[in-house]
Amino acid sequence: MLRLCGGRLAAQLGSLHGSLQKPACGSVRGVLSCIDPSLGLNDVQKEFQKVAFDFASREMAPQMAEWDQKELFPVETMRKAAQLGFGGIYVRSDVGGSELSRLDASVIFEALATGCTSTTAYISIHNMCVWMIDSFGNEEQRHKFCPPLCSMEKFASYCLTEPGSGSDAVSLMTSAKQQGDNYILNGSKAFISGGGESDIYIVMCRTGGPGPKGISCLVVEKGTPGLSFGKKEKKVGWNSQPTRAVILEDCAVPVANRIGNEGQGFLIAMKGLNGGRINVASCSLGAAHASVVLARDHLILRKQFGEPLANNQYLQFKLADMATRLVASRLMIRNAAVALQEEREDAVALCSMAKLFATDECFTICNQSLQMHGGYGYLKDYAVQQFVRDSRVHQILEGSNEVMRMLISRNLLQE
Amino acid sequence: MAELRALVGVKRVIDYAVKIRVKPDKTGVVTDGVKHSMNPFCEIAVEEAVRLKEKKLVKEVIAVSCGPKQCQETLRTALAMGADRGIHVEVPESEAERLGPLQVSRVLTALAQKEKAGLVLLGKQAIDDDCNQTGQMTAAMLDWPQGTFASKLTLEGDKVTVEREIDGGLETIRLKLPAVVTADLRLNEPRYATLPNIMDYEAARALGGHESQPPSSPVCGPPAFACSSLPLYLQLVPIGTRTCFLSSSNHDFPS
Repeated sequence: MLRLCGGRLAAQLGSLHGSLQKPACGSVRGVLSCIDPSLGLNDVQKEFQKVAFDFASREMAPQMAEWDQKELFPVETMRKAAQLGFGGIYVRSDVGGSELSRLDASVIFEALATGCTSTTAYISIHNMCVWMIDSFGNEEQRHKFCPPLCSMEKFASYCLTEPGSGSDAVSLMTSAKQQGDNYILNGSKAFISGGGESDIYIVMCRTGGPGPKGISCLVVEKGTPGLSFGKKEKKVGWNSQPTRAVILEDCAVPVANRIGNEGQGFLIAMKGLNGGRINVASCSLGAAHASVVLARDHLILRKQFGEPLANNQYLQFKLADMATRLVASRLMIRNAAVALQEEREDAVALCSMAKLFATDECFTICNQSLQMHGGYGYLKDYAVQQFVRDSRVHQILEGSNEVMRMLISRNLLQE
Repeated sequence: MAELRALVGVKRVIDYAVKIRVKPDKTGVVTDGVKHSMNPFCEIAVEEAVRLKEKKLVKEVIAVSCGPKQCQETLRTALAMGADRGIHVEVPESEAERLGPLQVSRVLTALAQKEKAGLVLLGKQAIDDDCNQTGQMTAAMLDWPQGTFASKLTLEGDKVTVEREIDGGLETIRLKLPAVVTADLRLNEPRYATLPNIMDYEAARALGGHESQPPSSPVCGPPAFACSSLPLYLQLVPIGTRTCFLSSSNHDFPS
């Protein structure tokens, strides 16, 4: 398809070279426009956002393609992010967290995701895990586990899904039988982000009978005998984070590592996921924002039929639609974040709605941006395809969008 | 430990990543609604001052910015990077276009004397006008030695050794304090403001009382080369110390 352009391709490619892997957020800091993500924020939030955007464009964007193609887990870069306070954004400060709000976290993840969506998604999962220990752990556990996690000296993974229980998370089968001061764990977890690299695994397992009340939350440390990992999965996207099965065979975990009470595990898992859904939706938002900026730049630059693509009304309208849905997604997410931090009754439903809406819309936006790039959009030299691939999985994990619909309809029909 | 105070000038300029557009009447570039940030060379100067403070060679870092009230954003960034105090020399929007290196160097001269600074650190030039004059003029007005285009700075006692990037290569000079140094690109890599620093500053701002300070008397007389003969009356507005937030009687800062 590219050979059709003949000799002019070289010249075109040369002029388009500027947009090759150009940090998308660089253009963000230009003229104030309707999609500016700092609109509506207060001065402090604008400061955080600025730091996050700077970090994303300088430390992440230049390397996002390499991390994706070589499947590198960017430990050093994430530790740099943690030094800025991004390791435990909404964790209390006495254990090293930044003690900010859910809305602040959403703003930060959105900005970081413009640099590398996959890495930011992992950072958000890590944040969720630290928060769970911070919120539900006792003082000993908080002071033991949280500080090294907030600094990202250690990494954390969230283990709920099993080969036999995805959407039907309650039916999980990993068992934990108490023997003296330990629980003996048997079972396996699937699709665990960070699996094999992380030091701390937050494992939801069955200590009691069937149903949600039989589930407890245990912290399993890497190196514990009986803890092993499956092969590293080969994925379409999210390649800067390893995904492995986590296998537990007669793995002895101290009872002191149980977060919360027996039977409280499912509640902890679900509360973690509410925030996790906002976070992952915020990552989609970052990807979509970067994609819209890339599309806009491409439309201005690329000429066909004697004029820039930007003069074409169809493309103008398409860009307008993309921008509108981007802002709508952003508003839904920020609204849900505020509801969650205020502990409102509708918080769970709003988080589900925001996750559903934003991940679907933002993937579509990234995909439409790819289309606007024409053949170039399909090349790995251009960032837009990575945003498409990385944001695709957000429609599936942290509760698939189908499960989101279950939660929303339940809220409506229970009335 | 040193009693040295470092005065760092920071300028609010159009962000380096922005695509500049010329105004339709060709009188300048579009600045309305355009993203602004701290001049990159000023960031490097702030970073150097903060590093000196961390090495305990400098006691206090005072950031200064001249211009309309949006300059406070730039000062906030300097404070989040580690500066101790910020001074906003407020120039009304209408006068701001006439503000150039000559006026700014007069302000810095007066402030350096008032604050008893021993080291004035500036960026080598601003990326909007590329004047590369303020540091040199300030040194001349203060009658202090200058080390411009610094790519390395070493403070030892009352002397500062400056390695300068010049056309022919590198030149190393030693200056006796007090001195003016302007930062070049390779002096250091500026830090990111951390979330805790931003929060510390904001918490201090929220907790601190609001003290009224009447605008001070004119800091400098008529600018020598200004088009208009009106003197430039400037109001000194100290803001955002690490312990409290001061505001002038005339201005309410956004909460």
